[in-house]
Order: sequence, then C-alpha cells, then structure tokens
Amino acid sequence: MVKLRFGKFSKILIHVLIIFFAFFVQTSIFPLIPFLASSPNFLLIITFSYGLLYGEDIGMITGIFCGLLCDMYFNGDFGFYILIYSLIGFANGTLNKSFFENSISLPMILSFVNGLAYNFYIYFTHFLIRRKFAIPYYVFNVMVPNILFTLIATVLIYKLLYKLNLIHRN
Amino acid sequence: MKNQHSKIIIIIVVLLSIASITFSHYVPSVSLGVRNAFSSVIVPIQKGINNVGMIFVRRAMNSTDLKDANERIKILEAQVASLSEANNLLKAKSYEADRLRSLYDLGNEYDIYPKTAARVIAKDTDEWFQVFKIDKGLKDGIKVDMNVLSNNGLCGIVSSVGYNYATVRSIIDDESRVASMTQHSFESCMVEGDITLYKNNRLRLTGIDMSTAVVDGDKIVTSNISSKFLPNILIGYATDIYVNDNQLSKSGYLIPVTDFRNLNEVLVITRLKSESIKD
Repeated sequence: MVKLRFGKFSKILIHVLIIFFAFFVQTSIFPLIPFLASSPNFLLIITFSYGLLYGEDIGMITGIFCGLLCDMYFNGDFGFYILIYSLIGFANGTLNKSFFENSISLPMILSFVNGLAYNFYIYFTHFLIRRKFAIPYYVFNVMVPNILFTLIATVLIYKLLYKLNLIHRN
Repeated sequence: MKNQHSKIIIIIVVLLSIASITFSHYVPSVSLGVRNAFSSVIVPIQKGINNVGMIFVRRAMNSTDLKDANERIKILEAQVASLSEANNLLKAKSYEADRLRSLYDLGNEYDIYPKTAARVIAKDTDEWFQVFKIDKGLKDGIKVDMNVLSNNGLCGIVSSVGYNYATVRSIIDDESRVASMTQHSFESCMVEGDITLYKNNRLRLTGIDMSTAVVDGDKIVTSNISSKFLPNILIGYATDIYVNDNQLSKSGYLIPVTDFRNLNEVLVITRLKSESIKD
C-alpha cells in the first residue's frame, strides 16, 4: 500500500479545507432544505473531535478558527462564537490523554454534552436575559432536534477525522 | 509545564473574546467592516455552492413532486384561462381609473413600492435565530431597515448590509416586533415573533385595546405609526383573540401569509419609511 506523507503545511491546509467545507455545507445547504426540522452543527463536531484527537492546543486553535468563521459570518457581538468554540475545543482536549481508542461511544457522549452546553450558552445569552423562561419548550423543540442531528452527524464525521488522524500519525 | 502553558492561553483567549464582545456591542461598526470584507469573498462561493446543492435537493424532491405537479397543471391551466380574461377586464378598468384620476388631479394614493428580487443564500444554522442572508447588498441599493416581502406578505426587515449581501431578520425571530393594525378598522396592535410559536406557524399578537372589536380572521397589516415598516403591508390574519388576565387589553395569535419554511426568493422594497415621510 502506498503510504501517504504530509508536510506540516499540507496538514494544516487539509484541516482548514475541512473546516471551510463544513462551514459552507452548514450555512448554505442544510438550512435551505425545507423538510429538515433542524440541521447538524458540523463546526461543533469538528471542534470537539480535534480536541479529543489532537489535544487541548489544537482543539483550542480549531475552536478559535471555527468561532472566527461564525463571528465573521453571522450577526451579533463579535467574539460570541469564538468564546464558546474555543472553550469547547480546550475542554475536550483535556480528555485527549485519558482516553484514546477507536471507539465511537465517547465521541457520542461528548457530542451530546457539547451540544447541550452550546445550546444553553445561546439560551442564557439571548433568551434568559430577555426573561424568556419556557425552558421545557426550548429544550424539547429547539435543543433536542439540534443535538440529535448533531449526534447522527458525529458518527460519520468523527470516523473520518479519526482515520485522517491515523494517517497523519504514521 | 505544557499543560500550564495552554491553560494560560485559553484564559487569554476567553478574556480577549469577552473584551471583543463588549467592545463590538457598543461599537458595532468595527465588526461590520470585518464581516463586510469576509463576506465579499464568501458570498460568491456560497452562491455557487448553493446552486450545486439545490440541484441535488431538487432532484431528490422532483420525483415525488412530479405526480403532484401534473395534476396541478390541469387545474392551473383552467385557472389561467379564467384569470387572463378577468385580468383583461381589470386592465380596462384600471386605464379608465387612471384617466379619471388624472382628470381629478389626484395623486396615486396606493402607490406600488419599488421592489427588487433577491435570493436567500444562507440561514442562521441555529434554530434559535430566524435570520437569513440574501444575495443583494449595497451595490444593489439595499439599505438597513428596508422591508422584505415574500408570498405578498411581510417577511422581515434588513438588519445589516454588506457590499454584496444583506442580513434579514424575519418577523418570526424572537426579538422581532412590528407595529401593526387591523386593515379595516385601523386598531393598533403589536406583532411579536416567538420561537415557541413559529413551528405552529403562528406569531404573537399583543397590545390590542380592550374597547376594540378585533375578531378572529381580521387582516393585520403594518401600521402607519411604525418607524421602520411601510404602511399597509399584509402580515397575516388574527386568530384566537382572548382577553388578558388584567382585563385591560386583549392578546391573540397571528397566522402569517409568508411560508417561512420555504423561503428561497424574497422581494426587497427599495424604499425606506424615512424617505417616504420626507416625500
């Protein structure tokens, strides 16, 4: 079998391309499909997967990059997304040393926890401060669909990123 | 040691982003500049991806739609025939009306607003926000606060503009408030977006005076007193009106005419309310 070799520059380039691709799919294809109730958060998956696979530094940098993309693209206060994505990347990165094998269960659990954290972050910053207290409704109708879709997407994307990680390591 | 290092970095990142959030909250023009530069690169790519993506989506939907479409063609063809006849009649009447109006030297009271069509190129990915981007911007004469229509009904308002894109906050967004009134009796009320309602295709209708006779099915249009929305644009129909607990006012719900699930093309009215007032 031909062994693929990557230079440092091309490694970074591949990661950047992956993030851009996910960003475009997430913003301009998924939301325009009318029969989908919600769309998966690819950037979140990429951020925590990189944290888990490469450690807290890379996780944090990926988080900053993903957050920056969102901040530059969406409206609102600049830095809003950088804050949450970099924290998620860092927090998941701390698990890098304690756990590392080809198992899908931990990424699934993390996808759920991170999805919850991300959604509650938006709820606290945009809804609770306007005194909107219908938490059960928000949980079941906004958060759960989003988290479920993200969970399904995690299975596919994490496997891909894991394989890429193996290639890079060898 | 290395662990310590990244902990310090994450603290710096968090502090910097909090500083940036605070700063851009009070000085939004700075982030607008950054976003503008970014979008001038992103939007053309996005348009391309959009086209390719929609080809696949359409193909998937086409097969199921084809049966439906064939049946509907027959019905529509019959409709076209009768409508074109009616249209001819109306045209004749319209010419007559114009002629008589000019005789009376009256201005056209119900002016038709100039509009430009735009395509939706991206939506906010979180269900939390009902915000979308369109492919027209400053270069097409779009300005902040221009009203956006879809299916002949009010759909949203331009909240920020870049060179080649504009961001529209739809009226179902949780932060949206539209001063409105009933079309036949000019009773004022407020149309509020609420994410706990929009999945049932509803908006909240509040601030209806106790003495007024707003009933279910009343047409709700944008109000004359709104500072941003042009008057007399149809929003939807009132439903389930009830008296508030304090017995001082009424509330209810509004069913919008716009189908927010299938927003692909919208119309932007290229005139601002503030300009209309000056005229």
